[in-house]
Amino acid sequence: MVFAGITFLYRFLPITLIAYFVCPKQFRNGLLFLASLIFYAWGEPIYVLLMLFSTVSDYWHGRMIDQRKQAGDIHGARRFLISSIVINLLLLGFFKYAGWIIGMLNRGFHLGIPELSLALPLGISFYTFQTMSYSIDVYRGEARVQKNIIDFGMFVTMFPQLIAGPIVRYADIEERMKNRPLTVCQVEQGVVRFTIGLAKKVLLANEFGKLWDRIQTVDVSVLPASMGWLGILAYGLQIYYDFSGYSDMAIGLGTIFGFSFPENFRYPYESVSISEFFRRWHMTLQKWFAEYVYYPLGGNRKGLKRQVLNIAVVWALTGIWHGASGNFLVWGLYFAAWLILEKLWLLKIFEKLPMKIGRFLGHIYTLVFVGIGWVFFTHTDLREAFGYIGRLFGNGNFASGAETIYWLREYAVLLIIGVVGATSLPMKLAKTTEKYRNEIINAIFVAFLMLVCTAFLVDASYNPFLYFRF
Amino acid sequence: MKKGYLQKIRHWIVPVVFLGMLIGGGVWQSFTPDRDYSVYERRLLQQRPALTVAHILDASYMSDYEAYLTDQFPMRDHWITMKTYAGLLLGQREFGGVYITENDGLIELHRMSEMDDGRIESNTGTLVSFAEEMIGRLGTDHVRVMLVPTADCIKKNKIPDGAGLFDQSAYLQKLHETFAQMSYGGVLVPVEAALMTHAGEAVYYKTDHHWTMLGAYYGYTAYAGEHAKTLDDFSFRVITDCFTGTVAAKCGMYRMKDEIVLAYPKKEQEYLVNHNEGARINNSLYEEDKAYGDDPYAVYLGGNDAIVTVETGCGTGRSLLIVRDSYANCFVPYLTQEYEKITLIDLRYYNGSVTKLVGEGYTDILVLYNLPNFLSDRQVYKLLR
Repeated sequence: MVFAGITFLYRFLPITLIAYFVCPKQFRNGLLFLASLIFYAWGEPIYVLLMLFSTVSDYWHGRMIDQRKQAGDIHGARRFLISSIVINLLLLGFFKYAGWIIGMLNRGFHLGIPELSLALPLGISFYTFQTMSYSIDVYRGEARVQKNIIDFGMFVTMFPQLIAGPIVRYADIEERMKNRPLTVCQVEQGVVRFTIGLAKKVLLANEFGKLWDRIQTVDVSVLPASMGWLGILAYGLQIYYDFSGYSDMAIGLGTIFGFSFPENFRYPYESVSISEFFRRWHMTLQKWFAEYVYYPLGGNRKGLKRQVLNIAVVWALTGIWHGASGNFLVWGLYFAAWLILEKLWLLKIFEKLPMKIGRFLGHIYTLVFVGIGWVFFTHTDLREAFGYIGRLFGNGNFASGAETIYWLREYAVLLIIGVVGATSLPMKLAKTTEKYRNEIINAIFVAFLMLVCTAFLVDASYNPFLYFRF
Repeated sequence: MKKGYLQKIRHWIVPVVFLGMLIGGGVWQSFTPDRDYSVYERRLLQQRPALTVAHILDASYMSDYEAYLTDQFPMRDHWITMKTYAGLLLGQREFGGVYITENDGLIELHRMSEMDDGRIESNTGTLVSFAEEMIGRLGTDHVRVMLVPTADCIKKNKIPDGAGLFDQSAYLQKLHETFAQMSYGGVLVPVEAALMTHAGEAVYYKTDHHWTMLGAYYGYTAYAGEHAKTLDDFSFRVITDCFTGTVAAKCGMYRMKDEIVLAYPKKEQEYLVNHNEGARINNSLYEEDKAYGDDPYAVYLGGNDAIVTVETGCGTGRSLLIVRDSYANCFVPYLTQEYEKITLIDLRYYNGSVTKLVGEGYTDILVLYNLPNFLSDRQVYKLLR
């Protein structure tokens, strides 16, 4: 099921919320587990078994790691940890990467391995990462073992963040597993957060998506430079609002249920360097890779050469985490290159400039090169990606901007809303007006957004049949 | 004491409103009777899917259920209109490939990027060969081609630059030159110029992709030249004033309404109209009951049949074969005083040979389409069959 759909909003969510509120405290985890399984099975009626397998496997591994540790058998515990990680990576490798790798082998060595065309199980990249973090944290002693399989199942399958994050580490919510408050103030906050997230997804991300789709249909060989940049703006806003909207909805729902999920985005487009951008973009994923890959590889403690290598490894992995395709690898390595350049020289140069100028230039440079990065993200065909980038810098016609102006006019207001909304300005505004607002105004705000979102969702299915027409 | 109580209760407002809307929406939906058909969208709506194990396992139940809830959402058409208005409020003017103008109605856009160059070339080639062959048989004065530009060409000054429109004028100019080089200069009827002169009048519907009865009249003056009858030779009658056509459906904008006008020659005539070789025979160029059905435009000649024969009994000794799309439907009333017999064939449904049909003694032939439709039609090759 997806959040931005009528089934979720007008069936699943109200039923789940009412059931949760009336449910006695000791059964709430079980209820969330059940609701999450239904939520997942709605989209993946078969692969839900895979997720249950993963749950049971990591539950058992967690128990065994703990048991070995208690017995003082650290090698035994390590063996179970490795087994847990291998199983998770095998799941991910088989369902997500096997097809890609076989394709490359077949092309590279002219082998005739039968092609594997498996549908990617929804959310597998997220839940395998979450369960891995659990096993590792139990091994490291950073999380206590979970002995109740229902509670553990709830953690793995929890529907608010199951499909698109944020990646919640077990240690993040350990305290709230058994005992969590259900206060009306929290529900209030959660509702507002959820509604804003829904509006970001439905009213903004989907609309920018339409603009991007329109621009994407223009053949790269005739794409004017101005249109290319408009495309990057549209796509950059689409992916930001899509992803951060989903995170807001997840965090909001988590808050309603009494959890406190980690933040995932902090106005990344305000950053003044690419390193900063990725400290503010999909923060839980960056933290996961830092915690479980970068630091274990030695991070920055083993000399500059090693650090550069570590950055490259982490970003290659980050790239292919986003999708099993060469362009994502290029995307990751592209940013690895920028991060390394920044570490070695760029940041020092910006620091030498007067502060305001340095920040300004840094901001522009970040937006431009993050934007160019999105070109790799959206084009699975690398030749097309490079063609597109060439067009951006005038390899072609700078003129013929009439079409760009047409679309700019169509989307002007939305683009302005999108750009301003991606900064911290609305949040600052909300803070300063807090004392003038009361619950009634907030309620009107929520009701208004829900109504408009409903109209957009119903409209999305608008599909006039016009073949009769001539 | 009381204040403390108020402090507590006010935090309930947002959650109660939110949950109330979700529950209210859900309950409202459950109690709204399901509709089978959407008149606006002209399609069957998704019905409650059957709950079977097989449908659950292949997830088709779930996707059908989402489609069902969305299609059957209470006041569906109003939500869609609300979305369109939200877009208008945000300064958007184009919805579903339709440009919304203040005073000139809804203009359907035909984009260069949506046209298939290969098909344009082959359809043009077919048309030229067909015209050449017909001229050989009937003479230059008895063969005419009318490719009628659509509203986005005649009213292009209402649409901002950069919409990437297919240049219908340039195409017509080129086609005219092609014919002129073969010294068939008069074959292509200068319908664009005639419509351009009257672009400020209601020559197109505000909500539909067709030309109006008036637009067709100006087309007729270009076709008949100096022999054309004047507007005074006809009387006009409005049969409905609440027509919303295909273009309104395309963009989800139902506020505007159009009139459907019927034209009658003042000089009384009797007709025998034969649809699909005897399937329906009647005495009028109009099937008036259709004006109140799902597709009111079908009032003209009863819609699109494979072959329609109109006998007018005007005694001029001339007969006309029209190869056409629906742009011809409201064109025929202007011709009934000049031709004894008018036959219309629609190549999408008519599978006989056109050249053979011409041999049945027609004195004149006319190819009448709206231009973008002609250039994207897949059946044009049948002209030479």
